Amino acid sequence: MSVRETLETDLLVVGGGPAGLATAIHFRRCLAELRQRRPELPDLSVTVIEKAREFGAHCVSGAVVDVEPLVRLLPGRELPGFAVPCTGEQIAWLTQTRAVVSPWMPRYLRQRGLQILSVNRLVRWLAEAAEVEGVQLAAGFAATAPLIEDGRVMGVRTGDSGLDRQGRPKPSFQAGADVRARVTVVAEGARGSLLRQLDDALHLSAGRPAPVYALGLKELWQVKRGRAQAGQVLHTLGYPLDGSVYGGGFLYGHAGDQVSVGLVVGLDYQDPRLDPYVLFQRFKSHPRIRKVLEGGRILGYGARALNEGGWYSVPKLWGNGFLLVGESAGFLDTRRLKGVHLAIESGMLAAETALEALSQGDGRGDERLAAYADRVASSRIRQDLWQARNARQAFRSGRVLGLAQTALQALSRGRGLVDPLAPSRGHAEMRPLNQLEQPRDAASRVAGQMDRQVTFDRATALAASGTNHEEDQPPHLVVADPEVCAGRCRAEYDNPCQRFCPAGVYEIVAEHEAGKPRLLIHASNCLHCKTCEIMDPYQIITWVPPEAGGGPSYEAL
Amino acid sequence: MSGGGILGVLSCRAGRLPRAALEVLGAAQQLRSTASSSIAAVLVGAEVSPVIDTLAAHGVDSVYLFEDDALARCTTEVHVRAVAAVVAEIRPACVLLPDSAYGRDVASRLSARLGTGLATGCVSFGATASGEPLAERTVFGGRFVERVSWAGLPRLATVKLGIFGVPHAEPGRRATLQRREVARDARANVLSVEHSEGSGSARPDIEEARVVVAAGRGFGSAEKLHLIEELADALGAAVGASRAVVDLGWLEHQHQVGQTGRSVAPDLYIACGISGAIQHLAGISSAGTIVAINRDPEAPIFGVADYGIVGEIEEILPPLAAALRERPVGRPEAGE
Amino acid sequence: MRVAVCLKQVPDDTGRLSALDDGSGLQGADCTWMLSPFDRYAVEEGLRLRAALGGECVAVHVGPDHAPSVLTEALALGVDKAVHVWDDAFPALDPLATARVLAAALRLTGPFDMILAGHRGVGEDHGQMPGLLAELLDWPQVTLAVGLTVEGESARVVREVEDGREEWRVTLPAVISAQKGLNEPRQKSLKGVLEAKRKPVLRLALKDLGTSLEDLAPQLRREHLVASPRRGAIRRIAGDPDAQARELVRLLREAGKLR
Repeated sequence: MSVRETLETDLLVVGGGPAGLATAIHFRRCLAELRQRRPELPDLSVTVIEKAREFGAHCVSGAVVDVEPLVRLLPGRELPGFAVPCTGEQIAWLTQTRAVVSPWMPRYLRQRGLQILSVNRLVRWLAEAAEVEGVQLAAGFAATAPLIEDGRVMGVRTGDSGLDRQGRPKPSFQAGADVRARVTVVAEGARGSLLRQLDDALHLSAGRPAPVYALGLKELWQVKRGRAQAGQVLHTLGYPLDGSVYGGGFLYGHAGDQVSVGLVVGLDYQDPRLDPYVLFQRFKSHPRIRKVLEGGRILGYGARALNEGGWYSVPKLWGNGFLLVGESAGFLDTRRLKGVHLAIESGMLAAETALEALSQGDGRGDERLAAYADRVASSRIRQDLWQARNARQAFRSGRVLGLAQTALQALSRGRGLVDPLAPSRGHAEMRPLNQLEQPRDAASRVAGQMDRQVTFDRATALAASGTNHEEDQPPHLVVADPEVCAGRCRAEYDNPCQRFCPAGVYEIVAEHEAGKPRLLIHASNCLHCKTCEIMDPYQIITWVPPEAGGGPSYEAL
Repeated sequence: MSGGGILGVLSCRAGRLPRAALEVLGAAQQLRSTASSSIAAVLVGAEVSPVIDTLAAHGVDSVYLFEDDALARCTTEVHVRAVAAVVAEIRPACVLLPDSAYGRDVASRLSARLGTGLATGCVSFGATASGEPLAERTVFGGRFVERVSWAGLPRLATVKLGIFGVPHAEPGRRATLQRREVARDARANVLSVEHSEGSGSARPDIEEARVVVAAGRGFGSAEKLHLIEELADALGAAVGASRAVVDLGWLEHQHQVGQTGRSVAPDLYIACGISGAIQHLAGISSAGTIVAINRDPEAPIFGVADYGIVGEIEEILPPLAAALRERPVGRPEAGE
Repeated sequence: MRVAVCLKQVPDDTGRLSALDDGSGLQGADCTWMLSPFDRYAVEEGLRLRAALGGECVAVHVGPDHAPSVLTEALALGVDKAVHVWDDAFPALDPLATARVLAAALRLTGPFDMILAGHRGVGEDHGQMPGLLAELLDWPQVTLAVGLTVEGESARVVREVEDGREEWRVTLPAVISAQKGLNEPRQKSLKGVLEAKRKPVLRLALKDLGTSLEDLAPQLRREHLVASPRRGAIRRIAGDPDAQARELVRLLREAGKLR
């Protein structure tokens, strides 16, 4: 079982989320149409590889989705039954005890008519549609490295399985396969590990500011009858985030007395003692939210980083042999707080481009991939992202100025006062402890503060994520220099990894237990959110895909 | 529950009746509707006569014996034919077997042979409002309890071990003895049997052990782990560990309890110095009885334990091991 | 040698299951399903036998086969073909009825030299299938196999029972159930996953089996299903360490937890 196999496919899609599946589905459908007109064209194979054990298992989002591209992707198909149209919406400003509903809502934030749904369920639904179209789906396989020859992306290598903690082969060892493809579409979502390697090799983000990210935490709850209404959308600002922290909360009503509740926290906060998970618990205990959740039952918990870089941080979208779609391409509208529609749209544009490249057969396929950038530029992706190009950046100076600037931008098609606004520096905004202006109450990650009715400690919440990894495998979170953790980072930042990880993966163990303070990595808890790689102040953490199929097992999230 | 006899299918080895067999008789006592319902037992094997008096003392009214040296080398099919013959003869309302390898083997073949339903791993018996007999059994890793009823007769059930008590012994009580014969099956035979009783040092694997004692970070350091080993020795238990202990390198990976997917389900789980993070608890949710020993009275593990001791590991474990050693605890007995 | 492997599909994470309010069963809409772990050893053994002795390994599943399909998984691991038996007209199948359906399917797709299965499924956990099947087919059975060697027309099987090990020899065909330790199951390869789609899957319904609905009427009926009762309140043991230790031992002994 240790021979490395080589497989071939025409179109390879890395990542089975909305963007990846839309690419695959649209490619096959367009191909079918094309072959009706040109029957001499050979069939072209599409393979989607996805690191989760099952399609959708690693997908989590709010979500209120603009389904217009979905309807174009699969015309004539009824929307999935789990989608509920938004019939009522509010934006509220929260203080510690009150919720003040905004009397006015800018047009771009209006949700009415959009569909409230679970992205996890949407992806399962798309996967079924993909199978019908003849897409080859392979769940439980992660792309661990690109195959690059002479600057051309030839496909990817998938991960080995059956290595023990020390990296030695166990009896069940299986070498990963090399998947060679004529076109590879990267659809890993925010902060993909394959994209990182492509970027290093091919300099895709040269000349662009590094994107800023946010961390989204979310739970699905079964609430008591009457506490929530299906179709209701609530977005909040304010408590528990103070003016210097970007982000906000949400509460969406699904059918069957289920709600999605969540908090988004910008990953450019200054205080290293901030704990997004604890802030999420505080959000849930706000009276406006608590009254919905109390007496209910948590069904699921998940977390994921969001790419909020906006238009100016969009990397080079294509190269020889590859295209980027979805959040891998930075396609997230930070003004409207939406990305699924852009993911699907970009998937369709990538599919059309790839089909052109693969069906002409004159050896000029790579040149034709350039057309993707043109397609994106003349699509609503560009239109929406252009308007939003300075939206996130406006908040670098805090909430008040941010809101003011956003208003100005709305009036000037996104230009605002300064265009481009200096982008946030993400993790580099974090200040060492000795530079903080005033002490803030240290957010605690101790279970003792949770009420276990509406708020829970990390470990309890994790049980609702279904996350699981083979324990006996090499740790998939690689810390380049663990000495930094016990030494410099402890002194300068008090090891913020213990707080910004929503899964409690990182723990600094005290001297009496381990000799001297050292870092314990509970890799098995990992939710694959990528926050650690993003937020680590020394940038020494690298996330690599763990062994096949490990990770969260989100259900209806 | 309608009247009708109960037939217990028992086995013994080398003339000795294991506790499991007596528990089946205890279950039979619980199951029968009136004190006058008869309890019969069937035994198939070599050297089975010595146990007849014990059976009688524990409530058996008639014993059907298939005794032959050759039967020690017989596989399930022969036992099933023997039992089926007795069933045809006495037409019991219920047939009970131990929920052991032997019991499940015989019971499942019997179910197909007789065409009646078999409930395995029963933890209690009862009745519906209209008097229909019911059995309770746990499913889905012990997280749920289902109650089942049977459509036809005889009702077949295997009885989970360690649940039903042993009935009171009435020495001098008599049972009628019926000897029977059954033909062998040339297609299958037992070539060899090795028992592990008294087999020394090897500790059981955590997933198979009846008792697991587990060490957590409360031990403070690897040097203190000898305390858990002494406790394990006193109990014949497997040694488990929380993930943190394995991550810290104090114990090897095969001791790790929980989270790798399948839970351990020992009858008795003693968590020492383990705080009880939910992932650990998920790994022991099917444990029969949970004992927690921890210095922190607020530790989450006390929320799920049946018995709790707040104290220091170093102070509790030695006297605990000593108290267990006082009356020697044997290895888990043959569960036949 | 033709080997059939019987597969059971079980919920992945029992921690997130919940019972229906009316006690009739489990809520299942978003449940994640997987192949019962003990079946993995059975599939692996079937594949090893085929590698050593040639022939064919066939996976059989009676049940709705939710996604991800256990049959697809078995095909991805290397099984040659799959048989899916299901009919919406089936009543709730109890173990005996399931065995009757399986036996009919196996007779239809046979003859087989060996039938392998996990010794129990971790779902409803009846653990009866190997014995039921063997009796219906009138074959010998060996359960809890941790070692298996085929010697011509018979198999030598080492099994692990409560108090030790036994070695049995049975003539083939026979039903053999797998226990953990029988082998080290392989992981599926990407090639295997992609090839799985091209392998044949035979779908059988009630009309193909030659059994009637009467044959499938349940002999064992589920009356009620509820979450296991929460443990009773904890009993805290007070006193000095010696007293605590003695009291704990006394309580455990009374509860029959010590042998």
